[in-house]
Amino acid sequence: MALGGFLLLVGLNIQVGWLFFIAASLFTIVGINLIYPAFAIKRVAIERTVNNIFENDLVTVTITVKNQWKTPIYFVNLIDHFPSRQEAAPVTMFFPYIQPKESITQTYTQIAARRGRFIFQPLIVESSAPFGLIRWRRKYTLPTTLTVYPIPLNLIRLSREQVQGGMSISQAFLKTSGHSDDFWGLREYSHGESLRFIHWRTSAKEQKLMVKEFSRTAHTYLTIFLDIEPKMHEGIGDSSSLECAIKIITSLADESLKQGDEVQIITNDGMNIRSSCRLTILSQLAAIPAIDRYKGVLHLPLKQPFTETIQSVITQQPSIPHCIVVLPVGEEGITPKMFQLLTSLKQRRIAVAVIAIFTKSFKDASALFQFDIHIKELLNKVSAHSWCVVQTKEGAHLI
Amino acid sequence: MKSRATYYTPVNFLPWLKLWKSPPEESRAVRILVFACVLIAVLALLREEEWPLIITVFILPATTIGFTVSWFLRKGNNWLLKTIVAILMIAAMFDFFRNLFLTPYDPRIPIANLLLWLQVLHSFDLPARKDLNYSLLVSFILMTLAAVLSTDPLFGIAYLVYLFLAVATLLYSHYIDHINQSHTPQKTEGPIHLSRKEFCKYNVKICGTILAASFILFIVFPRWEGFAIKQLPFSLRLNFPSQKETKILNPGYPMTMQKNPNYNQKEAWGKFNPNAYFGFTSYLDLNYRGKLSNRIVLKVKTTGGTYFRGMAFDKYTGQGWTMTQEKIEWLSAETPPIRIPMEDQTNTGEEVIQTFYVKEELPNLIFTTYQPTQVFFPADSIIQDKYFSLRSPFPLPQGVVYSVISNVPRDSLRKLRLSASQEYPLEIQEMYLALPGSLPSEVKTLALKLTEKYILPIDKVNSIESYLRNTYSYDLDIPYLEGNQDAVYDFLFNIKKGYCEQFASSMAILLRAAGVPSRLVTGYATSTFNPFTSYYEVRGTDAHAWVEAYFEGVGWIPFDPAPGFTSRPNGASSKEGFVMGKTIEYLWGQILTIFPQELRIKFPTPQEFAKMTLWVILFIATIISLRFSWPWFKTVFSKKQYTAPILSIPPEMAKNKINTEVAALFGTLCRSLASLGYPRQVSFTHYEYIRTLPKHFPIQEIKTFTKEYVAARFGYIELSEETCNLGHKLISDIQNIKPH
Repeated sequence: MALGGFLLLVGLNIQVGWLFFIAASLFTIVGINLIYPAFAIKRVAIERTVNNIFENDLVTVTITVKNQWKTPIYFVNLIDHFPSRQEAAPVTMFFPYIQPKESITQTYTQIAARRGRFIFQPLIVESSAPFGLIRWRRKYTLPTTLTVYPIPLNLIRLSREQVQGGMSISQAFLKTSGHSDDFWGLREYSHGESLRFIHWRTSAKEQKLMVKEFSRTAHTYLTIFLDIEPKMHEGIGDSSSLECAIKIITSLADESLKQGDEVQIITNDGMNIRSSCRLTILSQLAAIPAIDRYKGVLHLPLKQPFTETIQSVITQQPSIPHCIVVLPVGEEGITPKMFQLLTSLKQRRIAVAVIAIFTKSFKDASALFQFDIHIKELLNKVSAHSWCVVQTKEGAHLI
Repeated sequence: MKSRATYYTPVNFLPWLKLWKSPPEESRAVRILVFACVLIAVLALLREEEWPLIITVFILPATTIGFTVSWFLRKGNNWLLKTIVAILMIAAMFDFFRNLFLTPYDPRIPIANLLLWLQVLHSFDLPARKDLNYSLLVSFILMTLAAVLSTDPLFGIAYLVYLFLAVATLLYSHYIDHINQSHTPQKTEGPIHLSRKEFCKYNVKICGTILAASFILFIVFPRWEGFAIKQLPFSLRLNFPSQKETKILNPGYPMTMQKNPNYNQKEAWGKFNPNAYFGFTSYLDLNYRGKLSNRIVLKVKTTGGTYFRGMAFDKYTGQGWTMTQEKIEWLSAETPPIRIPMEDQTNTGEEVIQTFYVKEELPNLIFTTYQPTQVFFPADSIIQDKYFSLRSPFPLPQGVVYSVISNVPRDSLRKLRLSASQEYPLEIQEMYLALPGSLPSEVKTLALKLTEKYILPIDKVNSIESYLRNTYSYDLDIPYLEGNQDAVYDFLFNIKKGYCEQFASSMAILLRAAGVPSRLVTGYATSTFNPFTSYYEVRGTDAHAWVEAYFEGVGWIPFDPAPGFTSRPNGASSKEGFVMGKTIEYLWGQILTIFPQELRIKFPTPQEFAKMTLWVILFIATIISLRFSWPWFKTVFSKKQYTAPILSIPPEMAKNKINTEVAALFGTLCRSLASLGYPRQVSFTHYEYIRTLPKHFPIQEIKTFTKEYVAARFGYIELSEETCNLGHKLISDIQNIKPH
């Protein structure tokens, strides 16, 4: 522009017609670059679709751009911020040209590093066509939500003691709360199930993993209470005790759903979902706000204290036969209020299992076992079963 | 065992230098396009001037080798090459200053020379994109220099090619930047690369848009006064013969042919030379007949004034004009410019700067806009005659360039009217009031008749000029004079048509007969303005004769009685404003040259076409502006108030037959009231609307009916037959009311 202005002045001064023409060309080049991209980015219609997946799986994001103009659109960039990871660079997709009324689809994949329900940021459409002198950007807000389901947790056992004869927590709990272990039949193995029930001989014969299924007697649904109050938990992000709790619940829910039971999950932020559909349960678990403040994660204010939540649910649903309480346990141990609540549940003859997730740090193994003994002693007074889980650098451990 | 030697380069010592190094440009296409741009720019520049042999022979191959070397060495540090290039660039810079010192009046050639060398040297070190961009920029500067030096429209073709290539370079560079920066899609259902065909289409579209928009901008750019920054006009010193000729030399009419008053008429008839104007000789023979060549003889860049004076005549012989004063004066200056004494020191006016490019061999006349004050001429000395015309010591060869600064006296009518005295100096009277004894008395009688009502010289001049302009027609096909017949008499009373010499001679003689000193002047006038080069293209056919009249206290003022020419060459500043008309005129003129002369006359002339086109443009512009301003006009000037639309029958009312009828009746009622001059405003509710109605309407009944309608419309109530009847009655009543 400055060069054009300079040439125009020189042209005026020395009266050279061609300089006027060259200056006009420069002005036009700048003008085209100023006007064309501004119009072009307004004439595109964009769609974004995304499939919901499990943690650590690849997400495929599909973006379709349609040219609504009567002329082709050239050199359009689409910048999409994948919401899962804060540090990840935005994905830039280049559309060299789009014919009038034509739609072009491009897809990209990203790893969903953590569970959650994420809302995509507005998609940025950018063009500096044709020469890259002036860049125009426009934000397209597309209501795209990505749900990354949590995956079940395989707990590492610290103690050699086998839980309920070698079964997982969930299996053990389900057995004690009404499930029988009478062999009912064989079925195909599905992801997340314990390897314990694999019927190896049949699996070898069928060339696929087969598991034993047990018959059921009196059971209707499994109720799980989870305290999601951030201050009760330890750590942030993927290493937080809340994530550990959610993974344990996923494992429990999976197990219960496989048995054909319904699962009810109740948290102290008002979530109360009861369903026999695995994806419904998983998407609700995915929607539980994480402890950290990652972009795009939904945060909802907590409605009431955890004890009050349990109390009110029990009052409303007095027929609950059994429930699991997933409880973060810190320095202060089991609070009197919680102990009182668990006692009252016992008095009501509700079978309660408590999974205590230790959120305090321990100096050494003996301190951990001492604390564990103390908590278990307390819990054994009020619950049918209790397990303690501690998180280390290697992962979550069942004590 | 051999010890391994460590070679220290500057990079070893200064690792941070590596940070400055841009990644090498790997795209061959970008390099080829930049090279093509440079090639076109260099060719365009070489075409415009005569360059030393070393430049014309060396530049293009060296640039080609440079680009090739750059491609192969793009990944290396090339410290040795860079050092050599830098040293040579400094040498080129010294050469530039030397050239600038030698030709201080025209810096364009030294600058172009420097840039050409820099371009060549730089082409050897183009590893990265930024270097290629610099190269493209230098090529652009070379193009602008070529544009400055260009005097013909052929530069346009070079510029078109250059524009196409430069746009392709910019587009492609931008495209590969996109490709490099973007994410490779996992899957795509559309193109992720631009095909060659699509790229070419895009490039053509962009170039077409740029050209069209540039042309529009070009014609609407105002051409205000040039040379605002005072710069010495250009003057190229060429090697000329050292001859010192004082007489007028016209190569088309050698001395032997130039006639004295006792010329042989028959000899003159056969000797008309279409390539040379017979008015540029010491004797202007009014008996020459023929059409001059249309070839361009001069290109003139001027800040104003289109009459370029060559020489003047004072004595009318009856068959021609001659110069009585042979006395000349040599004017010289050691360094340009040569200062010219003004004929009329008192008559100062506007400064006009002109540069003349001689395209065909011309007489040794230095054409200038009257009156010149400074001349930049490629000779040590020039000649000034008694008529204040300038001559060169040699005929002007093709290629000579000279510049003139003139002081053009602007002759406002008020100033000329103040010059009432007719007591002219004796010298003026003797030279410019003399009439031949053989002049028929009818001529004098006519002069007196035309001027008898006027006292002031300017009124006499105007009267004679308008008489000639309105009474006689311009025609090149006129018969030869017979015997010793007086040319002016023959024109005024017999043939009554002629060309500029006849008109100018007649006016000069009639003025003299009326007592106003006058002289005949020849030169070039009304040439074609080329808006692209900004040069006036002076053709052989533009050779012209006009009159200068003397006004006491003012000086010599030009007048032109020939039809089709401006009557007052110095009347107003002829500085260019907008060139839209002239551009159209020029382009149409160029199109017409394609057709043969016989067909050409069937088309409108460039002037007519330009006028027509401007009217068409004005018409289209008016239509477009009316189209876009129509809604505004409609709202501002429309007397009709904006009224609420008559509601169509709402769907919830359409379910019931009676309700439907009531809704239709309510619509009819509203329309009837609106036709009587009471439309419902859009902001009014139904009840507010009823309150605005005058008392002579059945207000109560309308109110009842409206209430029922509103109840049905918004309350979903089913209406009865009674409401229908009320509606019918109301409508018939209202339709019987006459409007107030």
